[in-house]
Amino acid sequence: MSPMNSDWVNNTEGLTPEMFKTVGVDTTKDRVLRPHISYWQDAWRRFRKNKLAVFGLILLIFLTVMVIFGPIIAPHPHQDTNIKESYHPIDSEYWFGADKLGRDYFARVWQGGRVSIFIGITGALICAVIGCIYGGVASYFGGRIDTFMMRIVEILSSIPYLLVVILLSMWMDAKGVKTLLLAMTLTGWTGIARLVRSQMITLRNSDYVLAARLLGVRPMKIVTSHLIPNTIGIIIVNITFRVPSLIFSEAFLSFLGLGIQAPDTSWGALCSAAQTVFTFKPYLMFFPAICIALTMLAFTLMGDGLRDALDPRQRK
Amino acid sequence: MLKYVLKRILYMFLVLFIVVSITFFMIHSIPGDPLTASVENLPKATRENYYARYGLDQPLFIQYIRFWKLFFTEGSLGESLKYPGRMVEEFIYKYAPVSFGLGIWGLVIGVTLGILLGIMAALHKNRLPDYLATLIALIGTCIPAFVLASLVQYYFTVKHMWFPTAGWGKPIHYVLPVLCMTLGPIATYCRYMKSTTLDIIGQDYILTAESKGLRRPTIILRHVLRNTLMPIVTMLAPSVAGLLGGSFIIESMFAIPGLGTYFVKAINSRDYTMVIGMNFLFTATYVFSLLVVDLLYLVIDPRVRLEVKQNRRSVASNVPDEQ
Repeated sequence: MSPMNSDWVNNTEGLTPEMFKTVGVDTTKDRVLRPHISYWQDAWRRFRKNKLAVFGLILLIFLTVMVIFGPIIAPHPHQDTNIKESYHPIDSEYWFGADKLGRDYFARVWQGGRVSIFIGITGALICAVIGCIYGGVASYFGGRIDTFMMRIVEILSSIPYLLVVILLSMWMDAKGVKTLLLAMTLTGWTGIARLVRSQMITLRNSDYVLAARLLGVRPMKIVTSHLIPNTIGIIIVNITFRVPSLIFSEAFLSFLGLGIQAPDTSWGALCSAAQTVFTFKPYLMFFPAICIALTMLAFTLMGDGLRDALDPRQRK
Repeated sequence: MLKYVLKRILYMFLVLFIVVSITFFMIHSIPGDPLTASVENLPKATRENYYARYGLDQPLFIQYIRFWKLFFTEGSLGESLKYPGRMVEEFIYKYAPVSFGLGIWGLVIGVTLGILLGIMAALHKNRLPDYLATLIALIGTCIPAFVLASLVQYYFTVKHMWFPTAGWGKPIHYVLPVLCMTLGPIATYCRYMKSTTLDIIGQDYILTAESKGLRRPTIILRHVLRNTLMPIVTMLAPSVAGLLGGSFIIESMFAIPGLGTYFVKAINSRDYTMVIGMNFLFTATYVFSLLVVDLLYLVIDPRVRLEVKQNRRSVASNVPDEQ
């Protein structure tokens, strides 16, 4: 085991003279044959080559545009009820039909999308920020602090996550976006924390960080210019895969009646309401369900592409 | 070795104790209680009797001690607030077999099919089996269980009447719920199995095995499968948690008299003892499956055995990343 304490920068334990023998210099190998490209240019080049991933990206842009502008271009506001138009069929005025209370379903679907996608992205970002700070602090200080912090993480991730969400939304007694976000991020950050910690420790023991240490680079500079840039790729990939799972959880909770409450709505809440009349009005289920499925698809395809582009160890 | 196993089991109970305690205090700190509505218009003395009957007049800490005392002396989880006279464990004894039966079927079928599909996809890369498996996996990842359940219910029971819409007890009632529960695991395991199998096929020792002239089935069974199963074992515990969540929805949609249905009802009617009791059971199931996974690792992975022998393995080193 390598030493894991806070003065790792000056620690020389485990270094042997044989590690510093000259292996000979071949100057002919120094010539740069191709133009220099940065990590991000390289990642973008690889991402573009993956057709499915680009399709995912386009799909995601389309869905984002629709949730932003959908409720605006809809002929009726999403919360306006009109009982005369109850279950209005799909036509030129009601593009997706109308629900039981005569509310314009087109507006409701995209309004629901705003909530679903907002929860997914914000939740994933909150998890990432907390996880990065926690994992970073644990790996930076190392030793007992690290062991203690990781023990907390292990206990937290031994709790079934759904029960936490259910309990918390009961406990806060306020169902809505804020409660859902808090409940989902409360234990959701532990995965990223462990990922960041293990990546940091691996990098810290790598040869180029050793070289930087020997050149006398300050610890903070090593963290900002070596450790963080090399961790950011896997964090982005993790966020991309977390967004759909959060959208799924939101849909699940809203379906059970623990999530978003009327007149607000989300895709899960729409599906839940549509389930009782599914046999007669299948389109009420179809539109929100297809939106969830397309969002999942977009994030999954994009996540696969990003993983191949940003995380070189996983590259096939 | 024995010391590690004992420590690991002790750790499981510690986690369970912490989680149940947190649940207890969280539930009891919710303002108001399930009795408020039903006793509102009763005379003060009657109201007090009601509270005394359920022990809710006592300070919280006394209630907490009583909860554990009742559990350890009588093995009881307390009386349901919604169904007077019925104990929480009665519900568990009666309905848990249904939920667990459903969950086990879902898990076994889902994991087996997922593994098989994944291997098939990897061995026939970029050919029909691969595309088929990828398509199934994509459908499984993209469609929420409740949407699938609605579709299946509509198509097979309303439109074609091949299966009964409701009812419980005969094997035929299992078909549709299990079908809906397996799609998730199939997708997860298929994706995972495909990528790990591809990884391993590219390894040098497979090349060695091939050049030694071993037959293909031998290589797949002895060299590929054994190494791919390691990460699969780690994924089993989160799958158990996922199936618990899935059962809430599937059971309520197919009107199956299982624990999931009662758990959802208990949440909505704020039946606190019931929520605490069932949460106890679900957490116990989950931490127990984590324990089983850890012990399985001892059996299948010689590196882990070595770590244990050299006292290097933490009792909680194998917690899954995602649920």
